[in-house]
Amino acid sequence: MVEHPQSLLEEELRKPEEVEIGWPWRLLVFSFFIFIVVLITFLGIKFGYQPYLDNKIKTLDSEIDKLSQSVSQSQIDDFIAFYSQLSNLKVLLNNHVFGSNVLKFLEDNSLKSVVYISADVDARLKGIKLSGVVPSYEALAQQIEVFRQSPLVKEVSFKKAQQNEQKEIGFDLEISLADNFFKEASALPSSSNISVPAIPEISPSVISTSTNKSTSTHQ
Amino acid sequence: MKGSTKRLSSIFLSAVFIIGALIMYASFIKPIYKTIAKERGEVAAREKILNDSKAIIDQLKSMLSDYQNLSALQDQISLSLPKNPSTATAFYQLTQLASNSGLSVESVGVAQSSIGQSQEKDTLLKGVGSLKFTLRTTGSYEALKLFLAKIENNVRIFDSNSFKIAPAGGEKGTNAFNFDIEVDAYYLGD
Repeated sequence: MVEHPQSLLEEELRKPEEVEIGWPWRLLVFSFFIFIVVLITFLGIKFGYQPYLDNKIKTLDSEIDKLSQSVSQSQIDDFIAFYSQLSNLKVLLNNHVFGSNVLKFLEDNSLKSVVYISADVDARLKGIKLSGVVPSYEALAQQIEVFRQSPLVKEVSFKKAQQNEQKEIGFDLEISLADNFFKEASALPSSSNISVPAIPEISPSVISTSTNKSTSTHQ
Repeated sequence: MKGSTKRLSSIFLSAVFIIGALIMYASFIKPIYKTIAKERGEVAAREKILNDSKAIIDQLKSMLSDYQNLSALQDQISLSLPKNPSTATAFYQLTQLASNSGLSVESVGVAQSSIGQSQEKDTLLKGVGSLKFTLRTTGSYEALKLFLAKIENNVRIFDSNSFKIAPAGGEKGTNAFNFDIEVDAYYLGD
């Protein structure tokens, strides 16, 4: 019978099983290492990093205190008052009311035949209430049209027209003005070049039912 | 010592170390880590405050040095918007402007309004208070026109927010009118 040489695999299989006794030591070393790492981390945080942070907070606090004391409170108060004055002044000047614009507007946009009796101007509501007399309903309609065509007017509300004993027509008008009406006069568009359309024969009934888009009637 | 005993001992010790590490982590490191995270946040916040404060203080010092050199402007601005109501001064100015314009002052009323907040969204800024003067005057149309022009261009800011014109004595066709004029004067609030 021919003996075959044993293969390496067979040799290995024939060897008795060796019990690994070293591995628990490796586990022990590993777990000890973990323990030491955790311990060092704790000690490092507790006695190294935390005091460092505490100290840094104290240093920053003292620096902030020192910085805030570098300018006196009275200087700051004075400056805030000055700055408040400037800031508020800017707002007040932007909203500064030029009430005389109303008079200029009426002078520029009134027919010669119109006589105003009273006026009530409110810059907050941006409106004028006018009472006056005109020689005829035609003149009144023309006057309303002049107001209506002005870029400074939003709306003309015709309130009342009544013939008096002198055969004049007394009227009440309310004019709603543009938002920038009471701003400085030089900033406003001029209405002197507005062409006033000639209004042909207009009867009182036409005035009382005036229908243009920006003229409302409340008779 | 037998090999098996050694193995058991080393496994037991390993377990002790691992459990000890876990206990140390859970009982000491985790809580202290929270404190550390909080303190780091505080440090970051303080550093930001410090840097911002430094920038503000530098800017403030620069502005303060400019401000010290602007005493004439300060005076001028205080005339336009005084730091207190200065009711008597405003009253005197209005009556003088009216009489210089040719208006005859019949009565003057004054009401002080509450101080409004500054329109800028900055809580440090002080608001503006206003004094509402109600003047009843008589005079010509030209006098009113002159008076309005004067108060519009006055150093102290006056706003003629409303006025009523009516014929004096109820007669039309004359150049004598009654004027009820409301004028607002302003001052810096506290």
